[in-house]
Amino acid sequence: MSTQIERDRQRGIEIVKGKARKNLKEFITHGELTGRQGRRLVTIPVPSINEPHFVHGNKGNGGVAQGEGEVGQPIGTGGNQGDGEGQAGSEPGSGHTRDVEVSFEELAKMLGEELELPLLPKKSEKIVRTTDVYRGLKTFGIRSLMVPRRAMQEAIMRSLAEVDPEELLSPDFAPEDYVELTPPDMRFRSIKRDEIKQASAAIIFIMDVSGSMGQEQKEMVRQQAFWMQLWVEHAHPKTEIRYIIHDAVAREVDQEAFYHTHESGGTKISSAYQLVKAMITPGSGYAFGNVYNPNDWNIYVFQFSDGDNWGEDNATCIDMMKNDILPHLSLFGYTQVKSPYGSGDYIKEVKRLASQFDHVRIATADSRDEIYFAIKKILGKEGSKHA
Amino acid sequence: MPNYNLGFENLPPKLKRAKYEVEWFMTEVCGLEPFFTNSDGTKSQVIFEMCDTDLLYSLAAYGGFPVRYPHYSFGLEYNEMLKSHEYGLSKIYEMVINNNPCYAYLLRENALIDHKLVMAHVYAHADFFVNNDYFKHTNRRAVDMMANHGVRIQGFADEFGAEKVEEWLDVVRSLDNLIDPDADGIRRVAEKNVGPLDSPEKPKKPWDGRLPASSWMEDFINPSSELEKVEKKNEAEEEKKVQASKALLFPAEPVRDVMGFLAAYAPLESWQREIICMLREEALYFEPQGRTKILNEGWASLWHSIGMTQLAEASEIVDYADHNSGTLAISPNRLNPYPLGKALYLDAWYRWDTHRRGEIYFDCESLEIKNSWDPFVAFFNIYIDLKDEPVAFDLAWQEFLYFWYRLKEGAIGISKDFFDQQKLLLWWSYYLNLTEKLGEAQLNFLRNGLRVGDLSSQLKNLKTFNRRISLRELIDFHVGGLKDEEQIERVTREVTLEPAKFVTTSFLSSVLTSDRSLFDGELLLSTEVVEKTRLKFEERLEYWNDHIRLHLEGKVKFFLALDTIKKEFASGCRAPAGFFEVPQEFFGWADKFLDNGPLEIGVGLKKVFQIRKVHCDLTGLDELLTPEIALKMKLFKFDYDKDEDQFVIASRHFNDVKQGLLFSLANRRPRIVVKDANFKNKKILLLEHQFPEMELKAFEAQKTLENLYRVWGRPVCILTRLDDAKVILGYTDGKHFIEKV
Repeated sequence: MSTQIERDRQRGIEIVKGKARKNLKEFITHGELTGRQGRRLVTIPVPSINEPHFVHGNKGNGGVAQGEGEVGQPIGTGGNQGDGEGQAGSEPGSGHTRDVEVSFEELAKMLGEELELPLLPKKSEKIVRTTDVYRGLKTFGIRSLMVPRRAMQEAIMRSLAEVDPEELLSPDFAPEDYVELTPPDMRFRSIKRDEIKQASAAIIFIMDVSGSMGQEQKEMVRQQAFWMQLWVEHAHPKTEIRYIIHDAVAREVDQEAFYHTHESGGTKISSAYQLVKAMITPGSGYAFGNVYNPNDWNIYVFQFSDGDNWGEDNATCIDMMKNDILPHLSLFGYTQVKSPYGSGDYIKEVKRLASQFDHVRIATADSRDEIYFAIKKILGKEGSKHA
Repeated sequence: MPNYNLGFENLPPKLKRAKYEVEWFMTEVCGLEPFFTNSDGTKSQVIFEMCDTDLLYSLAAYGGFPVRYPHYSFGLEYNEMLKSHEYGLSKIYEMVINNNPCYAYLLRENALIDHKLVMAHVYAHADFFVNNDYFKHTNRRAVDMMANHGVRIQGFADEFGAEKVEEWLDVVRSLDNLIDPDADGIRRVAEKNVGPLDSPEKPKKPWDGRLPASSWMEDFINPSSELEKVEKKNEAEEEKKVQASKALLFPAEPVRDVMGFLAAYAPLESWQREIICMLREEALYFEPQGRTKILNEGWASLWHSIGMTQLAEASEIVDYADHNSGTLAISPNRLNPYPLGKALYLDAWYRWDTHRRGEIYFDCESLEIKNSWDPFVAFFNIYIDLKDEPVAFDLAWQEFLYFWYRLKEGAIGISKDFFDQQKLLLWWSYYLNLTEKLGEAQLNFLRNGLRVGDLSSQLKNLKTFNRRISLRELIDFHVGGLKDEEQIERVTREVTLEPAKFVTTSFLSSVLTSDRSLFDGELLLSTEVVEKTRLKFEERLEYWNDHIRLHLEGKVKFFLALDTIKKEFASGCRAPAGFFEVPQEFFGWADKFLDNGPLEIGVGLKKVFQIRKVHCDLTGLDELLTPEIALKMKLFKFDYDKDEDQFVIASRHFNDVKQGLLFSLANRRPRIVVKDANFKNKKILLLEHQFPEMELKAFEAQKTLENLYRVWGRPVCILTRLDDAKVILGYTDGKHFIEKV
């Protein structure tokens, strides 16, 4: 393997990743999150990094190619065709984009740098794994763990210490005559238990699926949720994710249903909070999944809504939040997306909450372009200023 | 420095044998000349190197060279190729570099048949590199050149900072198509005439714009305002000339070699200048390969097809056909240079063999003649010779008929059912020169048989003959079995020229055939040595027995079969009556072209070798593309449909296709010249995009201007066409500007 090509390759990847970082904003708002499932890699398209040349444009001019087809039959859309070997003997087309593969870890780092996100606080850490290792020595134990070499050293040191110094210096001193292995010299390997602590996290996504949330809104939610989840997972490698949808009633669903359910009818946010409360209160008897003990878990709740709520429900919601939910959460993020029916007033209620609790963050996202700022408001420093 | 063991020796024995086999076939049978002649008269080699995938792709990323200058784009290229290889999207079959000696790479994971195919392909490429005129001026020490550039630029990077150099490389790479492709071959700037007044002709006065008119129409046809305009224009021209002569206009003539111009005149540091020069040199080196893509690949495909159908074992032929079809496939909506080039050669070969060319063929409208074109050509040649001697004419014509009849009947081993007329005229041309051809084949058989490879060099160590063998003896030994005087003379000449070689070869042949007539009792070689030599060449000899002998024997047999036909005819055999009646049209059409002299037949091979020598894609297609090829290759012209934003098939008409093809070949890159380096007297660099039938990509052009500005240091602009209007695109210090002209 040539080292030169390896060096050039590393440099190339570096440059492409630099480009990818520059394009991250664009990607956050419009990117196709291929590879999200399964492999923990994301493919980010990067615009061509080939050097520009004086070249002929291919639009407006044809070329000659081979193949079947009637006169008048379309053979390709503008931009792609005519590149490459479409023009005989020309160099390969230069307009194509490159895909760069970025792992979730790197992506999260890039996100953090780009948005200047502060590290998430780790409220509680839990022992997730213990390992037993041999470390150090002890004076008792079973024979199979004996360390003869150390035992002998101990014996030599002890026995020679007892010998008369003058005898030691005499020319016909023979150590083997004096050294004697006794039970106190024995040394055994000792087992220690290592505990690996990790902060476990749970994310609960809440989304309003009442009639006022359209397909475009859902897509925005999906986009935003991906990036927030990425950031939380970056801080807490062990993260569980739960999804709640609600209209007038709430229920827990899987990811697929979360993004694709479309219901109609009224909106009662308190129903969702009821569910959250059940999920984070040990002994609540919630039967559809884990219940997180706030002492062991960092709990993040991200809510997406268009702000519509059944008027009389607001008071119940705030009350529940204040007393039963917010004290146990690490972060509560409320994103109000603009729906075709306009935005509701629930955001005002949350703002009131935010003035009391530091870890309540609020963002609005009227269009895709604002996802970027929404993420920044909820996870970033600005969010805390806002509070 | 990576440790590349570039050499022939690292091939495993099986491949060495394959290489030997292919080389023999390509050079001796096909007549390719893939070797450079060095200044000391020795011939270069084609060197094959076995590579693993990683190495092969890294070489491919570097354009085939083991060492290039450091640049990330190579790394990205490598990454991409490797990935597409891993996903099974592409596979590099062959890579060969135009260098003395030619280097080629083999992918270790390929099967033997693939290696053979690649080798055959590579020998043809090498032949093209060596012989095509467009490659004449390329640097044949390219591996050294690239490595030197690599070391030099790495040195700059160490001295001035890697990022600085990389940035500069980006800039220069963006300009590296602004070269004069013919810079090495053509001297464009006329040398200044400094001698005394040796041009007596006075400069012509420019036309004053006056049209001939009667006196009473004068004011209408030649209004004074028009005349003034012309006068002003003339004055401007004159002024320009004066300025040029005073060197105020600079450059005096537009310079096509923009890179060279920049290197010479831009205010640069010396390392920057040097990088421009190096990249220019590399661009010039790669230029001919882009220009001859179709003919080069076609040439290689042609010969590997011919070679492999002969060389592949029965068990390999299906794999070969599979891979070959993959290479030559017509991929939809692309232009694959391999089959197109091959078709051009094959078509030319056939047409020059059978004289399907010139007025006599293309103007012929009689279907009867065209349908039996081959007999017509034979008829014409006999007719033009003997039209005044009916008896001799009849005899000659009968001879042709009998020849044709016997071929059809299977005289040369091709049975009636499989005989097709394609080679009739070629074989007829052989028949006409049979003595010569037969002699050649026999001599070839003899010479190759004795040579069994380049034994002379291998046997140099065996200098233990205890007496000098006289030249006479040597000649007698070689001429022994021959009867034909011409052949005897030829062998004698060859032996006289290279006696040493023939001593060793005849020694070996005598050892192997136990024919000791020359050396019996005279030789003091120990049996051990003989046995060793024998073992050493056993493999090759085995091959000789299997393939070469069969092939050469086949050739001799073929000519002997033709000879038999001749003898049969002489003894009175004739084709049956009514075998072929001469149509009356023959006479009429032949009479029209009597002045042309006899028609050349059987010169197809000569023609294809000529094509590979003198043509590039543009000229080659211009001469050789015929409607038949266009139809067979399913060529079509496509155009861009603005309304639908897509490309559509515009035409399958031959003229459109040919024009489109030539147009895109001629406009592979825009033709851009330095027009004025002191534009507006402000030291602005003005480039001109000449013949802008195709517009530049505006966005890329602007980016390029930014890079150009980095080089020139002063405002730069280019005169071109944008949206059908002449404009000057310019850039200066962070600002782009467009001026309408």
